Amino acid sequence: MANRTETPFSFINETNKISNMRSASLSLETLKDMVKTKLFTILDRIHSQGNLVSLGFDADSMYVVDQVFPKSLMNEHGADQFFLLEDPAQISHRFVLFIIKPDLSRLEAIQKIAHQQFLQGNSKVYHVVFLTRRSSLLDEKIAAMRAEFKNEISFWDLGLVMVPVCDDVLSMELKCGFRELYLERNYSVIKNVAQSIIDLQICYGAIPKMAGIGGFSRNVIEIVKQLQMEIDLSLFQSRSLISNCIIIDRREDMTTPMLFASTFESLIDESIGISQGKISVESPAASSSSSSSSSSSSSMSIGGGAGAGGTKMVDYKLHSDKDQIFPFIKDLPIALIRQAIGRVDREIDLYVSQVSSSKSLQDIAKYKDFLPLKKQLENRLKLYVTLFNKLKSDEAIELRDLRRDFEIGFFGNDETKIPALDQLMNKQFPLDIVLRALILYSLFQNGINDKKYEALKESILQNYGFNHAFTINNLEQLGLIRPQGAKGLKIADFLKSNNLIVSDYQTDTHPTDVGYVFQSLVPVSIHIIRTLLDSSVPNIRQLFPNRDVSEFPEPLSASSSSSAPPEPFLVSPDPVVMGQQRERFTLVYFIGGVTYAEISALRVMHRNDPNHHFIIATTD
Amino acid sequence: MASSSSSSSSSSSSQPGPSMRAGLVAEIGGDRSGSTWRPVELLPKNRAPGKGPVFRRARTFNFDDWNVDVDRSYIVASSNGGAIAVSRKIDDVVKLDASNYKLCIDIYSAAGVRISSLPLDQVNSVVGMGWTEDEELVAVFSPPSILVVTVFGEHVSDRKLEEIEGVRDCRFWSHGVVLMTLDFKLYDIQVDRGFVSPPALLYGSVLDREKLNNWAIIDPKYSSTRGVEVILLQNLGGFITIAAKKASPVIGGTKFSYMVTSPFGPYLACLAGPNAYFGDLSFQNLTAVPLPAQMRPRQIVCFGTRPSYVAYCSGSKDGPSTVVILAEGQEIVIEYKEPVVIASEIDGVRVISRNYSEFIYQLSEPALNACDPSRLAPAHILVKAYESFLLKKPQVWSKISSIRGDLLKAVNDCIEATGFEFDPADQQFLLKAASFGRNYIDFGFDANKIVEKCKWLRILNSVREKRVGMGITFTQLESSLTIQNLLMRLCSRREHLLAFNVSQLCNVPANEVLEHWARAKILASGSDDVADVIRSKFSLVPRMSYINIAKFAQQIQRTSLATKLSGMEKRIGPQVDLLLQLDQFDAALERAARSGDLDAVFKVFKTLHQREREPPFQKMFSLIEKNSVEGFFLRFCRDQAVNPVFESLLRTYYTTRGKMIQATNEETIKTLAIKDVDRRVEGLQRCVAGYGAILAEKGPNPRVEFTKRAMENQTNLLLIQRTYRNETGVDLVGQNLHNTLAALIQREEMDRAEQLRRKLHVPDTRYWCIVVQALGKAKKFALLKTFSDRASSPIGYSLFVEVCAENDAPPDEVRRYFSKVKDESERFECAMKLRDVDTADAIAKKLKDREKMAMAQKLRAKLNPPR
Repeated sequence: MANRTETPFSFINETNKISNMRSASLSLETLKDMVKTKLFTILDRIHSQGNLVSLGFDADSMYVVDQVFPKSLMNEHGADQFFLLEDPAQISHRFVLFIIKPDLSRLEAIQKIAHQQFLQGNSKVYHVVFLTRRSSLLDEKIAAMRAEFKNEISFWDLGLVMVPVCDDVLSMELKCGFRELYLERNYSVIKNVAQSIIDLQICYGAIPKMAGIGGFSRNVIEIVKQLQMEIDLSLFQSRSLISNCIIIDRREDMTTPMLFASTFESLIDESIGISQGKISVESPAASSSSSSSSSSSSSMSIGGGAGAGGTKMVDYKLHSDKDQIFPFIKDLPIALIRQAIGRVDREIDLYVSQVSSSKSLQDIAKYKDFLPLKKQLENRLKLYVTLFNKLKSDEAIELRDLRRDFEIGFFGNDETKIPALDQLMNKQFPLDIVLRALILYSLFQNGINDKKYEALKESILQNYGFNHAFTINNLEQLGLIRPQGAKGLKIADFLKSNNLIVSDYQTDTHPTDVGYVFQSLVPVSIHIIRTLLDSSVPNIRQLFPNRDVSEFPEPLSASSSSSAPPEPFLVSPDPVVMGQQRERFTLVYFIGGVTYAEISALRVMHRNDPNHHFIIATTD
Repeated sequence: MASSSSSSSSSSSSQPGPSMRAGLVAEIGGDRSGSTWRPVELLPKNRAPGKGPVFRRARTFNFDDWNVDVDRSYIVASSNGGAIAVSRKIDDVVKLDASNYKLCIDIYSAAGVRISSLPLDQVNSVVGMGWTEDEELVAVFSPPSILVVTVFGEHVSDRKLEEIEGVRDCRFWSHGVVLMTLDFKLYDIQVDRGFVSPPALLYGSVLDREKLNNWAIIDPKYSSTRGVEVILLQNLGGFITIAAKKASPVIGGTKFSYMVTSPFGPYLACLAGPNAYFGDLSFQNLTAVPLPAQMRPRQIVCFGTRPSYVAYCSGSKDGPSTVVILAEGQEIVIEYKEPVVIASEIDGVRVISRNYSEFIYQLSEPALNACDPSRLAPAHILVKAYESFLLKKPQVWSKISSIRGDLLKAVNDCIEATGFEFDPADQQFLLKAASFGRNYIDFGFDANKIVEKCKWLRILNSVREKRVGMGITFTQLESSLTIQNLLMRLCSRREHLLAFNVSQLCNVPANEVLEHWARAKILASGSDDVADVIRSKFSLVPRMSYINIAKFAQQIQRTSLATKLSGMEKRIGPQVDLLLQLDQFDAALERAARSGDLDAVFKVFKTLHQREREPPFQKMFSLIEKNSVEGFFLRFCRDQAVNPVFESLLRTYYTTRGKMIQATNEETIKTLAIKDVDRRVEGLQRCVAGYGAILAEKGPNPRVEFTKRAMENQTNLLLIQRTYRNETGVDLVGQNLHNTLAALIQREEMDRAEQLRRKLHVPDTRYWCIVVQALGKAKKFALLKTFSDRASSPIGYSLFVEVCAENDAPPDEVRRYFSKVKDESERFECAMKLRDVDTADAIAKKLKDREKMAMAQKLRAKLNPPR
């Protein structure tokens, strides 16, 4: 049970209460703890003799290292100096530990560093820790390095498969997972997904029911079956905590990633870009100083505009454990952010005034304890005000309106939108926005008219570069853009027939419907998940007659002699009993990546049924 | 020393003593007909109560078809009630009548049932025989050769020892044999589950024949160096210890004539003059026991796990024998009417005669409590109480009452005592007594003890059946043999079903049992269909691996069977490894790719690459194509790119397999990344030619045509950019067409821009957009005016308004363009962009468009916020 202490702020308490996984009895921290123990055992072995460690990691692993092994904890275990493999600093300690993704080039970089140290007359002991399982291709290199450095080098495997990105999201953090799987047809991603499901079962017990939508999901289920035959099932946690697993092949819903979502986190990602859980923005201190210098430090100026004075870019880690505000606002639609930030601001003010006006010694002591939290809350609040102002700028609103206009236009087959799209290209709108619009048009209208198609392709080449011929070819190969007449399911028809269009969505009310994330339609993937979970049909294939559906274990056939009544998909044989409530956990695995909008929609599904929690896993 | 003598009558069936009753192992499952507990004979008879170890004799097997002349044969018994190897000694009788004697080694079970017979070459004479811990028979012959066989006579190894000139003598240890050569060199040969090491020289010649009395070896398990050690006894007294290739002589002292070491502990026994000595391997504080002159030992063994446990047997040829047990100062003398040989066990001594085998073993304290009436222990009283209960005597309650406080211990002792009984009826009696006693225990008794004991007894009784013939005791199974080794012994006896049942009963994985069974099945069957039989049985055990079986099939040259079996394997890694070993590359790649296991696929690629070494890698590439694993191959080449060997592998693949489109695409992508513009242009021209060749050869292909056209344009753009750089020094190389045109326009190079536009077929609308934006951004509004005046704008004038508004153009300019916007909706948009609320409002009203009116009002409110 993730115990969250009661705080004086109702917004934090409310977040903890309604959060998908914060209030759940199952914590994804267990996954981190497994690898943490492994790494700290290695560090402790070195540190036990009083030695300090210089710790190097490659840029690609930085995010994972940051997420799983906090610097403060590493310090406690003897890591004293941190450096990037690509930019090795003066290595100050005799013991050097590298945390890297298993890769030949990275091993060569380590070898180079070791040679340099040797030439400089420094005697060092190296420990190379591979974050993920290493391939046998590295064996030769490792053997060569062992032969060269003898006892001065040792290699370790952490076997990390998934990284908890936040409370309820796990990611394999594959850099090019989508490309490798869908374009290059490198099916090792499938094996990795299956392996990660096995790893989750080792941690949280066997998953009694799995359903897969799409061809790759079928493959994953087959490999999971295979792996379960290979491994010792007694390794699994004896109690099944996760009752269902739904695997979604991204090809089954390519519309959702192309749409423009309206939740705060999605908008930050769209306009600023969240990279490896971080955003890079102007220092809010600098930007807000001009606008709110006269106001008290805790009262925020909303709508005052970002300050022009500060240009220094600062990295901020979203999903920090210490951040109490972001979990409260991240899934809200932009229309509710002002209200939410105002509430946070008011609550802080109210608490400060209550405690500071009190004369009791106990309250004074409480106030003293509260000061660091207050500073932290205020700093974060400043950041979110800055972000909100950025998202509410005229340009941002105009862009959103434009994109929404395009989405609606494409959906309704508005022919004027194609020349408009060409105009956008001529104005050099960001290519990703243009391509997403083009893909949407192609998906909604089941292809693009030949003449227009050629003109649009030409426009992309002339406006963005002729090298994008390969981009277009790749998109064609994936079936994301295509000339009219090519085979494919018309998404528009599917959306209409399944009532996924939300025409009169109210943006100023607290979201209870999953459609709020796009304000225009319910994501297809979420519709699939909802249908699966709501259905009482024993054979899920009946639910999606036109899709490739797989199930594990296989449903009993009609001729089966079993007298037991067939079970619907959402059956939890061993639900976690928590007080009087019975919790249920569903793992939703997206092969090929997940959008923030889908994550938010699943969180809304949890809010509608607070005892049903969703663990969201993704490859990219 | 306490001495006891027992006159044996065991061969006489007319006097069924306790040992006779205990020996009826064949009556497994039979229940005792009587209801009394008959006292057992304990040795020594006149022992002081509570002092010294107490032994029992049990007839374990009566020999029916054992026809061995004990006196004229080498008889070697495997420990833990194992098999017995017998070979006729070559004496004068044999030599004289050689043609009638077929020399062989016979292997019998402990029950005296012949299991196998190994005929020997007439030229070979047996130097020695011994059993390994895994019950493999090791026989050393002269001329030097070593034979290792299973109990079924299957050859594990049979090799000539050419590196040794002649074998004088040998001594066996748990996993090997030490040979003494004719020139007194010592060699060690290790034997471990089918592996026979080459002879390793332990030491060169150390003694000549005249100086050597005898010798012994110390098992590595008990030696200080953890290697086999040798003790050479000198006839002048003292001895030489050879350990880790070093000789350490101990000069003087006792002149030992014979020495034997214990296989169960660091102990030894020696003979010197009229005395026997025993103690530990340190040779310190050896205990001397005088031997009567008429009882010179023919055979001496150390048994048990204590230093003072020695047994020897003596007697004249073909005459009666005497077995003497010396244990902690006690002497037990047992006489036999016929010649016997003895074999040491961890808990006693096995006595093998012409007609039966007997086991003399020590009883534990709990067992004594149950059996020894002289002790008056609660366990014995419980037995007696149960006996009274069965006989319906009234003393039951008084007996139970007398031991009420010790009932728990009594019950536990009775359960423990069952392990020392050979007769199932006796076991049952004791268990029932224990069960009877437990009824009077209020709490504290663990009922699982009875269940657990029954489980072990079932196993022991099953393996002691004459058919199986393993005389194992509970102590041996528990502390020496272990269940795993018992399973292996059962397998080597081909008792696979029993082994499987034992493994299920003990909850021990049956994998090795099934593997052994499958090997036997493969050897017995010549057809590949045996794979299906194997699968039907392997499916009973989860995660059963076929790899070892497939490897075995491969070893015996059954390649097709090996392939079939490897196809049944569930684990990908080992399966792929095996298929690669079998040169089944296609199957290996198909299996690896189907599993998605990157490592396995890479292994196949690497193996294929190593096999072929040089391009064109025909086999490798055809398999990649066949199994559609290009995605994996792409990743393989990318991951290996730092290795120069693999650098050009992908290109080779595309070109040799006629994948010209992919080859040219790959080449083009690489070319586009070249920094040097001349080389890039040259490369692109080659690529364009490549695409042209593809189209010419394979006909129209829209995607290739599109890419070719794009690359042609890219080349032309680069050429123009290069020329411009050379002429003006302004570097636009690498910019896209839009930006290049914009840059030229901003630099007022209108002619060049026009030329470029024509060359690369930029449509009017796009060109006008670029010009308007470029001039607007550069704030060249005069030039923009000139441009707009040149012709009627194909893009209308709203973009002009927008650009001018964004770039702070003079209001007149904006107004001029605004006036040219004809479409009312566009005019409304322009007015909104110009923040001209009144005009926007007017247009909206004119259009009667409520939405637009609302937008205008919203903008008004924003521009004039209420105070």
